[in-house]
Amino acid sequence: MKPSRAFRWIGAVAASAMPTLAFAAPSPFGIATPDGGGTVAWAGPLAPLFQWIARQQSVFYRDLTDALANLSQSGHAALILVALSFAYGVFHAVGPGHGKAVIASYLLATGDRLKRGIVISFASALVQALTAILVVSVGTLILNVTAMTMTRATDALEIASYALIALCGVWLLWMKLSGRGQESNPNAPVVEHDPATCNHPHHRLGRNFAFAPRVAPAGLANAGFSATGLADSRVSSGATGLACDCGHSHAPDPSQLDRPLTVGRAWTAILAVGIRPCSGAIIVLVFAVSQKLYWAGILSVLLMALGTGLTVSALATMAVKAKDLALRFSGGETRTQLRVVNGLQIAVASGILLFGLLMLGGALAAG
Amino acid sequence: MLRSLIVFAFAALFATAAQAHPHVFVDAKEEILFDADGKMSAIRHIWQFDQAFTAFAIQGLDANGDGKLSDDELQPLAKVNVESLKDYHYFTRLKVNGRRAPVEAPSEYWLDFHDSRLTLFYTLPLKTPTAVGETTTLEVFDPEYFVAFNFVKHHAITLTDAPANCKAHYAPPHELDADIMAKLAAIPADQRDLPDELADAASSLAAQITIRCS
Repeated sequence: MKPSRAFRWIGAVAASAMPTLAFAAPSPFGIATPDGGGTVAWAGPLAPLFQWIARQQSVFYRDLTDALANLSQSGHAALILVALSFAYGVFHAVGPGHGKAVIASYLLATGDRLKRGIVISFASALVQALTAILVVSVGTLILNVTAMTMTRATDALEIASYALIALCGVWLLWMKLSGRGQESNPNAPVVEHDPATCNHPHHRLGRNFAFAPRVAPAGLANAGFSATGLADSRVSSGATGLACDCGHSHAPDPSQLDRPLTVGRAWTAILAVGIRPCSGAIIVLVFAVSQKLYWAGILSVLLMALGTGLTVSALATMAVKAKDLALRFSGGETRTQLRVVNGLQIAVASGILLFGLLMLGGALAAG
Repeated sequence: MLRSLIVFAFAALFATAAQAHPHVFVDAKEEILFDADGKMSAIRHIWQFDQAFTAFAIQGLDANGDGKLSDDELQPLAKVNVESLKDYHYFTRLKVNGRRAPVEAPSEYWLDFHDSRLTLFYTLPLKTPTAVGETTTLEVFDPEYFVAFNFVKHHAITLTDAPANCKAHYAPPHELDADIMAKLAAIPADQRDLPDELADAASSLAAQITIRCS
């Protein structure tokens, strides 16, 4: 079977397996692919709100490109551009999209806490801005390629993003099912790390990881999260072994609870969400370059990322808080509840994997 | 179980919904061509793109670097445009007595670059020439709002070589109805065929062009 045929086949199976899931659309004009592949239908009470948001986006986007066009004539335009870019970023991210679904699922599956959720949100928005800047800078200033070529590059990055989502799902599942970070026995909250028997998958993957006998579970920053009123360190210690990398989350080390490694630990999720640049950012950047306003374009896209990060952080906060609240109202942690959490986390991790595979299959079949 | 309910609710919230991101703004002029028998034979689209999308579209196209875009330099893009539009049914719905008149792939197409804006010209022949019926409507609309169509005032629709008794009327889009908007919002951004009931709902949102022969 030729590879392309195999891809089509995978795509067909994937499509029939989940008819409600829409795959990445090709671009209607062959250039600039619509964002937000892999969304499924929204039909809830909030739908009018999202409609209103969509209209605001449209207005902001128009004003933003106008501000860019007027920049060379008016000093005020720079300020307007800054404000509009930020506002556009905020609104751009409000509607649900698969990037946010991945971040939220990741947070639920790992039991990661608020601080990390916010870091992941901003990091993925920043990565998304940087990939847009990279694609356009290389595409226009260095190689001077056409919009068609840049669109193909974006589509390739989209495929990479789905592959990373699947990888993230595999990792989460592996950590759960292999018993790593799983609290099969609530009375044994933490598993001591034994370097001698460590067979963590990342070692096989060739990642060079120098570890101390007791490496901090980054997620245990949560232990300090007493505001939740939860004695849930066991839940989180179990769950936080589940970052999309080898977390080595076996024993808490208070001195490292707040170390800034949070981004490094979640790199798969961050890349999965951020590696595919948004079409709007690419168009704005190319437009800026064409107006000889390269730096204004970069400024605009970075501010969009700031706005996007802000919104996504708010959503991530909701996801984390909802889980904390639910835990509190259900009265802490019994054995059963831990099992429920465990089961849910396995379900969410499976969901991420399935979603990544389906989107990957669909994108490959379409391409 | 409250916990699991909330967690599931959140998972559902995050995993849902399509979002419209209009990134292409078109000022459209439409033309319907008639044959010698007084039947409609083709639809001609004249779509002028916004400045930002134009800048993106023409990036790297000035192959000989003379600062101008020749027809030769623009034609490959025009080809990609019309070939890609096929999957979206050219955003065109010509309905005669409630039935959609099928169209063929464009016979002629080209791009024109003027005043920092690209204009796409292309002609869609009808599969079979069709007489204007009791109700005949032309809709040009992207229900997913990736492309926002706006019609040029007083030039939205032209009938070419039409029988003298035929007239076209352009009605601007209806005010957005929250209920219909909600339903439309439920359509994934990349689904190309609307379910029938939603297609009808969507059509009230599109600017409506009606053709009547008295």
